[in-house]
Amino acid sequence: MTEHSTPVVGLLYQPVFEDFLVQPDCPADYVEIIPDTIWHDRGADVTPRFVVDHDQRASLDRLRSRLPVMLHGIGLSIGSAARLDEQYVAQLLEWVDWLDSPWLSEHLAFSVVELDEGAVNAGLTLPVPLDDESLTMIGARVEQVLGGLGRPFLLENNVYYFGTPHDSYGEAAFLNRLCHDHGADLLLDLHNLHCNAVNGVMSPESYLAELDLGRVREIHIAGGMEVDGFYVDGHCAAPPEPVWALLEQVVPLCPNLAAVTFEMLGSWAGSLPPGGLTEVLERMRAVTSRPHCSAVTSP
Amino acid sequence: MSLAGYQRVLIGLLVQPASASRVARGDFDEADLTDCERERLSAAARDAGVALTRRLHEGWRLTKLLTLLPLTFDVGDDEVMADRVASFWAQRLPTSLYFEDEAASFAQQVARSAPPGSLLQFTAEHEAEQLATSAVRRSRSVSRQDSSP
Repeated sequence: MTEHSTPVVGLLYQPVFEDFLVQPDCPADYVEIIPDTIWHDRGADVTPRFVVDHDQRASLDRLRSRLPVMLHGIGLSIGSAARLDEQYVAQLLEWVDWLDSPWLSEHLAFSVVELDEGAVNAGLTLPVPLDDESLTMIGARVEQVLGGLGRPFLLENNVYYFGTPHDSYGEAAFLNRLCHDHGADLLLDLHNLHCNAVNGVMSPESYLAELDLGRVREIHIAGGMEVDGFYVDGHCAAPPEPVWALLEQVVPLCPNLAAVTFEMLGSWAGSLPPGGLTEVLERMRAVTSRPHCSAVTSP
Repeated sequence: MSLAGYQRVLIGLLVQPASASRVARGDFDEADLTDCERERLSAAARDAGVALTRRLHEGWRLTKLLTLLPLTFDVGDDEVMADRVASFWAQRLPTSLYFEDEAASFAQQVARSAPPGSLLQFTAEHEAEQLATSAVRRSRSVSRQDSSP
């Protein structure tokens, strides 16, 4: 049996959670921030491009005085065919270094295209075709980011509301190639996986059997809702029981798992009962701190 | 690069809904798409999951307007405001994760088209000015480098 250290548990930052996060008995070990919601990107043709207003900076300093900070990006659009935004990458890397985040995570997706009249941003993590063209492009970008990062770069599995015919790979195989051939590590979002299962896109069992769980350093959990006959990754509730079951199942299988994060939009905070955040975080800790007989065997 | 063209058409299905029926018929603006990409896009244009994704995109974008212009939307008639938003979006693509400029432009458009002297015109002008003031304040904001310990 291989022993692995107990993963820490954390919460995705939303302004409405700030007081909860800085209280002395907060059960979170860290706070995960989306830097794009802290800085303001004024556009590539403006100097300085990235600014932080005084209130946001004060909030970030208040959080940092209490908890370690991890960075989870939403703006890289690593799957955009047109280009990788070099200024944006430099900004991300600078913040990772400044905040001493143990890694940087982003999404296996694209959200930005370039038109003659400028960039268009869908604001959603859209699926890239899982084929060799995408693999070559994203793999090179993973290596580029890693070259300046000096710490792990995690890619998150996506949620799929529509399919891409003639994909050459399943997502697990595609992510495995990015890990083994290009050095990425993984952020396994179990709620995305649950959405894909509920919507009939994939089987969690097959997906988890194929994915290299040894590359998973972080797990996300969340809750969702029904929209137009789909189950949507809305970050609008406590995790449903199937997500807890996936967490119970997966944690012992991830020998390098170091953190589990609960994601919830602040606008839905009122849907949790009093003490709801504490309850979720304590349940996460109960799962992650349980003695596990790891599936990984010592060499 | 055909992948870039594929992605442009795919995002077009979300931000320019009128393109969906054309793409579903196999009529593309992009010339250099592969047969596989054409097939993928035609399938996407008919896919209920793409329609859902369009709804999620529009919900995200509308939430930004509602958050930044609460008084204007409170004063304006719901159906009329929905029509104004739809016609505004038909002329303007979402360019970033930040919507202050879009909200300011929308408020100015509402103020121009509202009945002169109406509460809606006054409210939209007021919120447009507030956003302009915020933009000036932001231009004086500190960068991380300026304020880090």
